[in-house]
Amino acid sequence: MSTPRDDLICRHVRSLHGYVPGEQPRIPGLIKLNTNENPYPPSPAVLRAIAGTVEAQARLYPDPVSLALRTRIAALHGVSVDQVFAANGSDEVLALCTRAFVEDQGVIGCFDPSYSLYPILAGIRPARVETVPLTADYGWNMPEGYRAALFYLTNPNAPTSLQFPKEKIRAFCAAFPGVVLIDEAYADFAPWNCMDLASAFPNVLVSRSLSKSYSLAGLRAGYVVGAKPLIDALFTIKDSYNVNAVTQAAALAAIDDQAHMKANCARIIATRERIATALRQRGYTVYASATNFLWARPPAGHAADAVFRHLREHKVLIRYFPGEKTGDCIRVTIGTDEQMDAFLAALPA
Amino acid sequence: MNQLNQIAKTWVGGLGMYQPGKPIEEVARELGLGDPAGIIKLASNENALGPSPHAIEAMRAAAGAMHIYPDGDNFQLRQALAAKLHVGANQVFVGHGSNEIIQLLGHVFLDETTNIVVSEHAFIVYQLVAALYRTPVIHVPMRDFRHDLSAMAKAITPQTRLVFIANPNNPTGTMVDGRELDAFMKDVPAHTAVVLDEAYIELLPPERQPDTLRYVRENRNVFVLRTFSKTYGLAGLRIGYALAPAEGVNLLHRVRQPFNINAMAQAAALAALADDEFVEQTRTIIADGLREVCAALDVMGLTYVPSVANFILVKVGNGRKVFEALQRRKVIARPVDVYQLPEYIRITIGTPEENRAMLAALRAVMAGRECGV
Repeated sequence: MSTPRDDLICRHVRSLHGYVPGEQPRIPGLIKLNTNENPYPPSPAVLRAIAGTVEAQARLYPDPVSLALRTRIAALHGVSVDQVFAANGSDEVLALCTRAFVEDQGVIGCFDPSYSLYPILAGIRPARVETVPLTADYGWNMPEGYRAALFYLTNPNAPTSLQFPKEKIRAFCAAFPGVVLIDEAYADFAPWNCMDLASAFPNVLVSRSLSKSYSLAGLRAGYVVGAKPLIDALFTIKDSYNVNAVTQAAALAAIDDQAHMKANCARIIATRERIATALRQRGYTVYASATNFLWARPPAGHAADAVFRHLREHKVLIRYFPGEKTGDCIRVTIGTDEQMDAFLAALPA
Repeated sequence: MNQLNQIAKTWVGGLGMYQPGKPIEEVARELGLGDPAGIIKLASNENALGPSPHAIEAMRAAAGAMHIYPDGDNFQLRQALAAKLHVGANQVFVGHGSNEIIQLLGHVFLDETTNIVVSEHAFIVYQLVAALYRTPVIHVPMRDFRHDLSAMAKAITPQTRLVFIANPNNPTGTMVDGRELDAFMKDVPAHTAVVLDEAYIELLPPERQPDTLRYVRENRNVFVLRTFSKTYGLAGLRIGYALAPAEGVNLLHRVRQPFNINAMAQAAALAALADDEFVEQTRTIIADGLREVCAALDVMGLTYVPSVANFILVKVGNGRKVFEALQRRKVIARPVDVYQLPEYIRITIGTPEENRAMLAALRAVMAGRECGV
């Protein structure tokens, strides 16, 4: 038997804690409104693509550069194929950026609050995280002359559901000396997006996820669009076969069926607005969501964590983020109308 | 002009990229061969039988739930692997192919102050990953195309953090046995971890598989890597695993993505793992195929390295030219000049029909001297 030796481990790894995902419990009858999944299935064309792939393609290594999928994404956004990188979920893009654009001891920035994975990804590298606090109402608050090697700019932001003003984003991209990764996981639920900035600036990447709007969370599909040299750098350090064959085929079919995706998003947005109104009538402060979830502060006398626990006891699972900036709000994924009615009914009186 | 070269990390520009076996569609396109269906790909050591029918069934059944995030904990698969392999579930780590695990090991252990030890003809991904972490590589010559474990143990320096042993090794198809590994493990100092990459191990009958999981149970500095890409026929899904002491598994968890394995791969792997009959069929078709191919190579007067895996390293003269000539005859093999083996090609064992078509093409290429060999 040997004694464990901590000194063998890279110093920055020793102190790491992994990301804590939303719970995936298996409780019968549970309504899951905690991980921002789409309640509606993907396009029927996706199911056909999956069925065709599993039999014929599963034994073969996937296309290492996801060419067919990237070609389709390039057509969707009107860019060239060498400006597109396909990934094992957009999380892979976020992680690769910490390795491609940040030297050891470099600085990675993001807003606070924002997606809770960013500081964890930064911690995996010997890099420093410098968060930029948002205003009390989660608004844009970038200090003049802010510098970092990489900035994760989430638009719409999570968990706040808000978009930042586009002119602020554009001016920041122009002034910032490092790489800006605009994380647009929720863009299909928003009235506008930043995809045009990926072609307008040499230091801007715009990432998208197929987990939410395209209903493909289980398959891990995401991509990023940007200037060719940045995309080339991601290719240089990626895992040799980073996107599996089923995901490549399913993502291609999903993107091909824009009508299905848009119809699903429209349904979710309609439900979102109905539930936002209902919550406001109950005294909640509900932020103007541009996503498939609501960020809401319960009325006086109702602590957010108590609402979270009460709902869980009534078999409705939402997300609660403890902490100074987030601990007074709840995040609720928009499910089907039926699920959301059950959520409203289960709220504490 | 932009400043991207200044923004990118200084060493990224110098990195090499892994050259995978050529996809069928790419070869068809490049050579204008028309219908890709007529092309035989024996370049990437994939399973000729496909995945287990149970795995296909499981994937079909899972397709309806792809709008839900995968289980980031891989709970069911880890339980099933632990039960089958008699280790603890906390000694199992599931990766996006064992390739991802090799990268994560680099993340945990390597930087420019460390080094790794590998054989000269070892699987090339180890040195590519070392380059990602700016880590020097110590290459140790092989003996008769086999790992020279005593020389590898002697090559370990105070800075060596990882020794990679692919067993069986790709591209040589050779292996070291349990006795040799036991002796080696005794020589490995406490500051070094051993990575036993057993991507092809299930192709061997159980009695010929070295008992390396014993090192895991004994809490040694060891990571045993396995994959569903080869024997289980799921290369397209990207799923592999590591078996290691719980401390080692925890380190890998800290540097991975929260949802690194897609739900389809989890479902397929779980079903494939339970299908022992399919594994047995795969062993048989590979053993029979190797026998037939070797007999034909003997008749052709070609030398080869005796293999225990699902591929064979054949000495053809100018490997690159023979590879190209075979490709024109719709057979994709693998040139291995990047492994410092320019006189060889590596050929995957396929179905009996694929093997015969490959042999016919090879015979024609070698007889016709169409490539100046």
